[in-house]
Amino acid sequence: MTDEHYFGDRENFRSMEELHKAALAREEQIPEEGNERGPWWMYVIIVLTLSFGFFYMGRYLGEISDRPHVLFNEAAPTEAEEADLDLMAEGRRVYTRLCQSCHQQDGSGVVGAFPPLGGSAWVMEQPERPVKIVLQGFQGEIVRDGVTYNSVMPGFGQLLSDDEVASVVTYLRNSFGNEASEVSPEDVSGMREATSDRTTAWTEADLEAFMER
Amino acid sequence: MIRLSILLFGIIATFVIAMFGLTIVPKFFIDEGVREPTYLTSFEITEGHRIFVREGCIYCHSKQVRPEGFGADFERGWGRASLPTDYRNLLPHNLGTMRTGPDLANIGARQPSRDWHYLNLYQPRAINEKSIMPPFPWLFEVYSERARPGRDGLSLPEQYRIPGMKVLPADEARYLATYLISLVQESTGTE
Amino acid sequence: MKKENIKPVDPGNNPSPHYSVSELDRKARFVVLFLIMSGVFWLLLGTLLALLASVKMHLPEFLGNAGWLTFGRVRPLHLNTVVYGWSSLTGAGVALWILSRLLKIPIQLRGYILVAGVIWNISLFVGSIQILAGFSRGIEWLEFPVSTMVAMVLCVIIISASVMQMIIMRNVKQLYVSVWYILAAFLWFPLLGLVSSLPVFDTPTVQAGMNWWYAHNALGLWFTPICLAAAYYFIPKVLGRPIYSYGLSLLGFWGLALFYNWNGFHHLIGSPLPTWFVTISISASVMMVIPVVVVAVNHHMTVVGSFKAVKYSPTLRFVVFAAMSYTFVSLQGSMQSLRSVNEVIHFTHFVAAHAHIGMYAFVSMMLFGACYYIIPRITLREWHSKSLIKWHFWLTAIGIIIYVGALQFIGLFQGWSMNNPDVPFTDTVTMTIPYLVARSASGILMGAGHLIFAWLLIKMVFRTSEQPAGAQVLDNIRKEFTV
Repeated sequence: MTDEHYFGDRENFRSMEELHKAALAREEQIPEEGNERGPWWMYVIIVLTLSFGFFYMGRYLGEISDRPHVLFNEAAPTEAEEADLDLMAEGRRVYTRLCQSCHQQDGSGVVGAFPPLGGSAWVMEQPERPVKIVLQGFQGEIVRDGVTYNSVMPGFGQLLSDDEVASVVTYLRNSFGNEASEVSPEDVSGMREATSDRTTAWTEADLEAFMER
Repeated sequence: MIRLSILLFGIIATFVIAMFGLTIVPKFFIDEGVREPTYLTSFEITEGHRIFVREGCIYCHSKQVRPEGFGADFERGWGRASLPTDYRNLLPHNLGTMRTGPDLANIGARQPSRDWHYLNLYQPRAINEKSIMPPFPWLFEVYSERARPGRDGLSLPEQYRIPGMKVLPADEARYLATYLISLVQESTGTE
Repeated sequence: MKKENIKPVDPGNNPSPHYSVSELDRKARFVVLFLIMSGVFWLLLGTLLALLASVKMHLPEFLGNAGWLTFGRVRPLHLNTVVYGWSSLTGAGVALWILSRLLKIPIQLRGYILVAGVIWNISLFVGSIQILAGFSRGIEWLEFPVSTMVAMVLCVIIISASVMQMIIMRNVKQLYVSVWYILAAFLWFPLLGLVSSLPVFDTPTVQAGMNWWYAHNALGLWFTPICLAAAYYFIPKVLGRPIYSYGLSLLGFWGLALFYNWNGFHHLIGSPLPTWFVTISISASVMMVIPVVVVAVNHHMTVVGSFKAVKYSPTLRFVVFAAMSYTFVSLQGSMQSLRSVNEVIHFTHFVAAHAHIGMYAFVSMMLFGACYYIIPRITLREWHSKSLIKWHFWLTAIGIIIYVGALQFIGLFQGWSMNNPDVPFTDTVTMTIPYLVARSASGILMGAGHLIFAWLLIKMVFRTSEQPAGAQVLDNIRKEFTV
């Protein structure tokens, strides 16, 4: 029975407690359950679910071992497509991965913390400076557009291949309004060789001294 | 009474079987391979891990890279597919389930700069003005500019500087940064 | 067979007296009220924490200097207070009352349950302070330190003992379907809690497996059975119509026991755990369609034709909303577990919204409905205002619909852009912000609903106009301890 049934006639009672006690006395037991069979489509769903579940388990169980990612290791990438290296596309990918967190997506940097790359003379003049900074990093004070910057940039020489360094520097030199020549992986390889003895980040003085040599 | 016994037995049996299946059996499969390598985990790293857990970083940053071909984790440069041996046996596990922020499994390779981490922890919007990461100023100490000569404060953008003061990382910030930089996938993962 | 026999099982050997419904309710009064009221306290606190966490998502500088209120501490505490405070305490109260009614025996060990309730609340307080102070265990759903967790589990074991005693001393012959679910819940949860506190899961990936086995089962083997028990009780009770099919009840119960246990690893798709465990979990998650569809058919066929009752019975309104949410959330969960879907929605706000359909639209709404039925009967008083109950329903219902709609919509786009490496990561964050604001707005609606509920409850329990409550409460305490 319904709540309405119990409490509909409350005006006839003097107190709420009496009303409730009377309602409780009249409350009925839960009626005996039916024993219907359920609609046919329910059984169709059950059978389909069971079949799919067991099919899925059989198909994608992989192997009984401690190895993760079994289903994905099978399609190991074949590294035969090196011929067509798109410097700009690859450079954009490397930039988003490593550079964008400081120099921002549009290369504008952060005033007072990370210098801008768009319109930067160092980026656009000879390719040696940006390549060396990417390889070994940079530290110490520099002034750009009247703002002093004094952060440490880590070197990525260990992490990036010549292809990747060439791509990202090419990307820097031709994005954010910059226009300059491309840098080839062979150039990078030569420059990496020339500075292989340097382990610490460049400072402005060191870099200028090196460039004059 | 028989029905009650069947009920009790069924309830316990279904639970215990699955409990073994999903907690104990995986333990037998995984533990052997994880225990073998010896991890050189310094005090700074374990302490940094503790702070990482304390500040609840894991609620926004996962620490697991999905395999190539499943999501774009690899293409985003977050590293190769994670392995059980990547976690240095540091507990709790910190695999995470959210990427409100980027994955951190390989952050040390992506961002090895201490200064960057300090800046990002002190004021994330100094680095990315659209970031919604909370700041953690209590990991830092503010000194007068003349105090502790020889130590440069964080190079904050103009609007976040405190005039006449400099911000230096406290021990906790140093530990946390050390820990984050230690998150590097050392092995290539191909056997 | 499945008829509730009003007579005692065996009058010759069984000395248990035959209790009237008012006697049962009078004896249940203090224990059940205590559990429900403390649950509502944690609901209000949990709502406040939820609002704080939600606002911090789009205003990261809001209270940004307070270390103990940082997002990474407030968010887990929100989860723990609503899960172990509101849902568990209130759920235990509701389950005990239903059991007492169904088995026609007063709640047993009432004094012990009160003590357990007090300890439970104290451990929740201690655990909350520990999380805010930075001593979280750092495992999702298990943030309370092990000591707090063990204390809570011991409290549940005391209630489980009462449940067992009630079933053994029962005055009916047959066990109704709600009793199966409640018995299962009170056996499963202590086991879950204890296993999760064992120190054997001591390598990261194994611990991750235990973590999600536990977290999924906390919902599936603790809250779901209690709330399904409530649905099986209140739907036929309020409508005065029999449950459609005993056979389907049976199938639904054993389906849940068999499949739900195995679901946990679908939270770890793509993680460094062995692939075959994950595949087994995905299969089990798909199989969950069976018990869910069966229970949905069983409930729907019981209600069908009496839908107009939803208009005047607040209990039924909440219960039907919750039962429908259960069907929806479970079918959605089965789908989410498939690798192709999971690839997109894993790591996004979609999953947060999914969890809230489970814990809010299903569990919390079911508990609200149960409270609206139980409390007038145990206090012998009437709810203060029918229109405020309506407000409560519509505020919370619309609130959760906005929450889920906004976050699942943007969650899909967030997932798609995250899987497109050409979209900068920052864009996957900025695109969600308007929807995070909508979530805060929906949180305000739900919070207003909770305030109404709490006010109605306080007004009802502590009202002094009709009878002197103070003396009565003291009298009750005295009676309760002379079991």
